[in-house]
Amino acid sequence: MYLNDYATACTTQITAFEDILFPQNCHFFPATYAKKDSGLVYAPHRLAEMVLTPQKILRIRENPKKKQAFILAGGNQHFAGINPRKIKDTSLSYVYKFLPFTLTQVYAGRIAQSMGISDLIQTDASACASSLKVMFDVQTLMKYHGFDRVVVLGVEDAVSNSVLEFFGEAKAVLSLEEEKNGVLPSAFDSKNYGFRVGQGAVFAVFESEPQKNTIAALRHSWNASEVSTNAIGQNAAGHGFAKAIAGCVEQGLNTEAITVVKTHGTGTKSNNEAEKAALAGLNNHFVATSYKARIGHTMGASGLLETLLLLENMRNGFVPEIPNRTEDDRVYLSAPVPAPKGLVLSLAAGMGNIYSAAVFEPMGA
Amino acid sequence: MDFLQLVHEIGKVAKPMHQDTLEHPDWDTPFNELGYDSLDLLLVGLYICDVYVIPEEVGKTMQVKNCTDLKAFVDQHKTIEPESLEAALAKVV
Repeated sequence: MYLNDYATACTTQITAFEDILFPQNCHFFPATYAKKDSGLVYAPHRLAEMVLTPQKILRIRENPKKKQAFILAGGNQHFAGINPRKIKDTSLSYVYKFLPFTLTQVYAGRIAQSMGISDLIQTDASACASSLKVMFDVQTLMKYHGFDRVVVLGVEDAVSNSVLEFFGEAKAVLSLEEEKNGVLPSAFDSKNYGFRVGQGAVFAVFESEPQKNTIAALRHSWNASEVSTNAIGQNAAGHGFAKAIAGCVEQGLNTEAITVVKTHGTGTKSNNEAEKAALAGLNNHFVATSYKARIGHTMGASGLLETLLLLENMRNGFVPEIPNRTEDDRVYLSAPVPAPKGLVLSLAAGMGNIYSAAVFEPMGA
Repeated sequence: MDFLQLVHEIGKVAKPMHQDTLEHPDWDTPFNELGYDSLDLLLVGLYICDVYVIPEEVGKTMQVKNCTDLKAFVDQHKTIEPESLEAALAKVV
């Protein structure tokens, strides 16, 4: 299962949204909301078009494989940019005239059609684990059902009234006020914490044969849930993460071979505890990083998007630090390190009690 | 204004991932032979209504086979005439 082509869209730039119910900074592409008042614009489609370039689509269409699948990993796709309670209109308010076409199976069908894919088209709504969770589907289809190409698109309407309101109300994101008081997003830190929401998209093509430009091989993938009294909470002992990793071990993963961990790394107290607990017994030589403090939490796109950013960084010779760490840490990195050889373990979690682990072997120079 | 060019440019917006394969329309060739399916025509219709300021409920009654039909529909229901192709596309692109 070779990752032979990919594209990512994300930004480190932040925009302050002060007119929304819970003012906060977001990682935002203003162009995605241009002409929204026409009712004919849906921001995630514009995000998707940043990674689904005509050239990439043409490559797939003109080089068909015997058995192909397309998966739309749409995260919390039911948020759909709607402001359901309409508490107040904001700069992000809009009405999309064509709701059946948001991040639905219909939309997935159209993208697959453009690529000439017709063996299987499916969607996923596994919240913030979505794009990493579907690595299990990639593995299942290619390993057990003879698919020789699976294309994944991960995208979500992360910066939207609904999401920002939900996360603001739950105090899950850093507020503008917290940032003005000097708090910065980070993870596994004693002073800085939390995350901003970010727009992001990821496109990845997995094929059964490697090519010269293969960036990585997908080796293992598993998803799990944990005993929980709160569907949007996390077990402090990290059982969900641990079970997802254990599933990969059952498939033959030797945890000693993991040298880099791409954490879910939201920087919330509960995720810091859960993820560290789950990784405590992994081995004594891994390093861990997180991208959310750099590009925001891109929700459904985050798992695979961040994995690809890490694989790119490792190809350039380094594993980046977790931004805004205030203490020296050689494991949950406070400074970049040279990229070690070995396997990459990527973790993701989603509201609704879903945890995903996927293991990649970096390839190529 | 070149109506066929307008339709072609709107087609590219309605089908962004097929931009390079979308055939340039003529007056008589049915849309389904140019690469448009029913969903595409729904989107094209929405955009055309936006350009010509045709009420949405009227737009939803649109049933056209080709550009001749589409032009007739537009001429019957439009409330403005765009100054130019560029001005028209500025509304949707």
